[in-house]
Amino acid sequence: MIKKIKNLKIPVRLLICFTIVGLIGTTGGILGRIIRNELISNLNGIYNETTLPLSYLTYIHGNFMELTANIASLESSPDQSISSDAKGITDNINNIQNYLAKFKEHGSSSDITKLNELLTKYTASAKLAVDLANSGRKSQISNMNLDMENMSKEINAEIYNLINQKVTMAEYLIKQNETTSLNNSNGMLAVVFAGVLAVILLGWLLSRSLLRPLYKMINCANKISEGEVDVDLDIDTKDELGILAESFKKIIISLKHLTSDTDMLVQSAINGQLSLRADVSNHKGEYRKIIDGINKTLDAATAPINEAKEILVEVSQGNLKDRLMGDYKGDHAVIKSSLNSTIESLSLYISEINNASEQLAISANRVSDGSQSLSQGSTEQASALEELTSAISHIANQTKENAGNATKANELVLSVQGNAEKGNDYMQEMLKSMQEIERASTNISKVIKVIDEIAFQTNILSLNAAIEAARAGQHGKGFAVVAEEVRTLAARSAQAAKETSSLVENSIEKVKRGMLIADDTAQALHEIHEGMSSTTSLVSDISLASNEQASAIVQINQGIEQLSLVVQSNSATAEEGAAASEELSSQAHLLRKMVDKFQLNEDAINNEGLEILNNINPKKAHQANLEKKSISDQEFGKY
Amino acid sequence: MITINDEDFTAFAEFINSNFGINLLYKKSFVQGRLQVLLEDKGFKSFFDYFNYVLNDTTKSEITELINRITTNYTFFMREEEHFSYLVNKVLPYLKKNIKDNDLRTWSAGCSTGEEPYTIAMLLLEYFGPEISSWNTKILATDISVKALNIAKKGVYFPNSLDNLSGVWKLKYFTKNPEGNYCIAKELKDEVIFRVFNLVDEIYPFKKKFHIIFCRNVMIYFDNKTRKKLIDKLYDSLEPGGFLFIGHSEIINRSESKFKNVIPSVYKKE
Repeated sequence: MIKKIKNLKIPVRLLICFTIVGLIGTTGGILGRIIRNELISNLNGIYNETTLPLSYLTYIHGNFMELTANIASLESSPDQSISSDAKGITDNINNIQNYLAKFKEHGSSSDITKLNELLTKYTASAKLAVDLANSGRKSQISNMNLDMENMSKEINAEIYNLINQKVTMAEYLIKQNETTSLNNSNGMLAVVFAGVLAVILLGWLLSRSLLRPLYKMINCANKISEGEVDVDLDIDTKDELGILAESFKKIIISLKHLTSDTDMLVQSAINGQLSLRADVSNHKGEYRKIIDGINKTLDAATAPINEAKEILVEVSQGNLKDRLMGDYKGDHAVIKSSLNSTIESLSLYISEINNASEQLAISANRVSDGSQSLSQGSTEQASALEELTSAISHIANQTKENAGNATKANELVLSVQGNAEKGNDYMQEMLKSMQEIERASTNISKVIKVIDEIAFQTNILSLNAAIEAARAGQHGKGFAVVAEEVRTLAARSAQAAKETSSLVENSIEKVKRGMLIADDTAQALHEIHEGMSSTTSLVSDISLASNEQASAIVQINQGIEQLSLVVQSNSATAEEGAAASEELSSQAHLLRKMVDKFQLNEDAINNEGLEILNNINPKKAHQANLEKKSISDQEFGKY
Repeated sequence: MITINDEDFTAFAEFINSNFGINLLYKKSFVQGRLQVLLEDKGFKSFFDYFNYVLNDTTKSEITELINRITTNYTFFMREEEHFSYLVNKVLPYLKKNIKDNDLRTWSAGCSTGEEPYTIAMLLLEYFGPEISSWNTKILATDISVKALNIAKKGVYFPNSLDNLSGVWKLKYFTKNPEGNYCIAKELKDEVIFRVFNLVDEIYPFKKKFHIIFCRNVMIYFDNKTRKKLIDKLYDSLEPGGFLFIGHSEIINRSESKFKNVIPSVYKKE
């Protein structure tokens, strides 16, 4: 029931309340009206019953007084004025008649019969008086005075009586009226009081039903105004306040959205996540504007940061081509220009490093080439030295030999000199010997002839022996072989004899020629003997020179040895140079590799340099990375 | 720039020379350059302080680092190719015929970052073919630089270090890593024993003598006296009939050694 009432719409509730109030008011009004009407009718009654008849009575009294005066005047006044008095009398009579009639009309409650009768009589007398006056018999009027005086006293008395009646009545009526109105007003008061109480109760109930949610909402609104949004509003009625509460709840939800989104944005901004944005579609109206504004503020604030971030990411990856392009103001413009100039300087340095590394690479390559050719040169020098050494040692040996030979030759020449003389003597003896050989040769020819004959005989003998052996058959087989051998020997003897014979002949011929030569030789020997003395001095010169050569060659050898040491030392230097240039190359390569990671606006690197770099051994660079281990085991395996 | 005064430098050069054989006497600017970063890294204001610090370092790690810095590790695969063709065409056939116990001992003395021993390992694999399983051809590779040896053990090389190798060999003995560098195959790594060794040490602690010694472009850093000593030690470390390969620019003086020169820069112990 209460719930239903609470769910009633406020206008309905107000209407109901005001209707109730209206009804109470109307009831009061109606009651008042009734009371008023009663009072009015009461007052009318009093008026009609008392006031009006009283006024008529006074008028009647007045007119009567005037009438009496008129009559008196009529009596005393000159004739000329009779008419006016008469008229006065008539008028007053008419008036009295008139008021009497009116009195009758209202004052029915009072008995005016007596007054009426008295007045009728009096008026008749008055009329008579007038008639008398008109007829000039004023004197007669005085006759009537007494009556008239009595009558007028009676009339006055009656009038006063009636007035008193009416006043008493009026008093009574007013008193009655007072009582009634008092009762009525009391009732009225009670009703009004009840009505007021009802209205107050109703008002209290109404205000309570309106104010309780209102206070809640005020409280809520205060909290909201103080920045609290986590407010619980437990109003779930269906009336306008319920609707208002719903609206409040919506406000709270909106505010919660607003604060949570704002908080989220702020928190993420604090945490450096500037890319996060709130969903504007969750918000409406001004709130949307706020969130949108924050989003836009973040956009505005983060746009340079984002761009700077992108640029820096690019830079970190070596791209130095990009610059901040956005149109920023204030501090952002400072950031932009600073960053751009930083990248610009970096670009410049990198480009310079690039050039330097290229130069370095080229130089390293040159050094490397130089070291290699030096090394190669050393090797060639060494082999040349080796050949030289070998040649020199050969020469040294020969020189030594020469020196020895020269000495020997000297000795030989001396002995040859003597020998040449001896040779001459021997030559003579040889000539004799040759003649003897000639003779002996002739003898040999004879002997050979004998041998030839023997060989012939032996051949025949061998033939015979062969025949004999054939005869002997099986037993003669061995002998046949001997016979064959003997035959062969005989043939060979004959051959030898023949050859010897021709040799001997040849020999004889040669001896003859020899003798001629021996003559020449003897002559030559003589010349030799003479030449020998000059040869001796030459040979001793050669011997001396050879000895000098030998000692010179020792010096040459020493020189070559020195040279060889230099060559080996050069070789070491060349190796060291090569190693150093390798290291240099690898460092240049590394440098270049690092620098190559940067992309610059102007491509300052020429490919030739790059190629050179790529061909250079980066060996040493890695050596530094290789771990160091000391060898603990001193064992050499199978060694 | 920290400079070294002549007195300090002479002391330093003598110390290095007597301990490691490396001759730095005329290389002051070189030493200065190489040690500059090291000194700066370690916060030394003067070379004298650093040198004293190195001398007093009992852990020897400082001297190791110093050696890492002053040694030169310049090498590549198939460097001085003539040696390798001689190895394959003459030396290996000879040794294969003459070694009875199938234990071929090769020493890469001064192996630097490992390119030389790995090149030899490849050649041995190629030469012996399937027969290699019946041979022990493990190579000893030594260097004084711990840093160089660590690189060698890791076996990762820049492409141009492999320029002298054929494409087939590159495929066969390497895998390419994402950086474009070449990683040596495990089968080759297993063929080489890397150890730190100072060639100037008085005692060579090897159990057996070697058939082949590569000691190329090492002596060029030594002074003459150290060279002679080294050559004698190498001679003593070789089996009779063994071969010594030295750098193309290096010479062993005939008069001073028992080695027989077979071709330029290859010597044989008769």
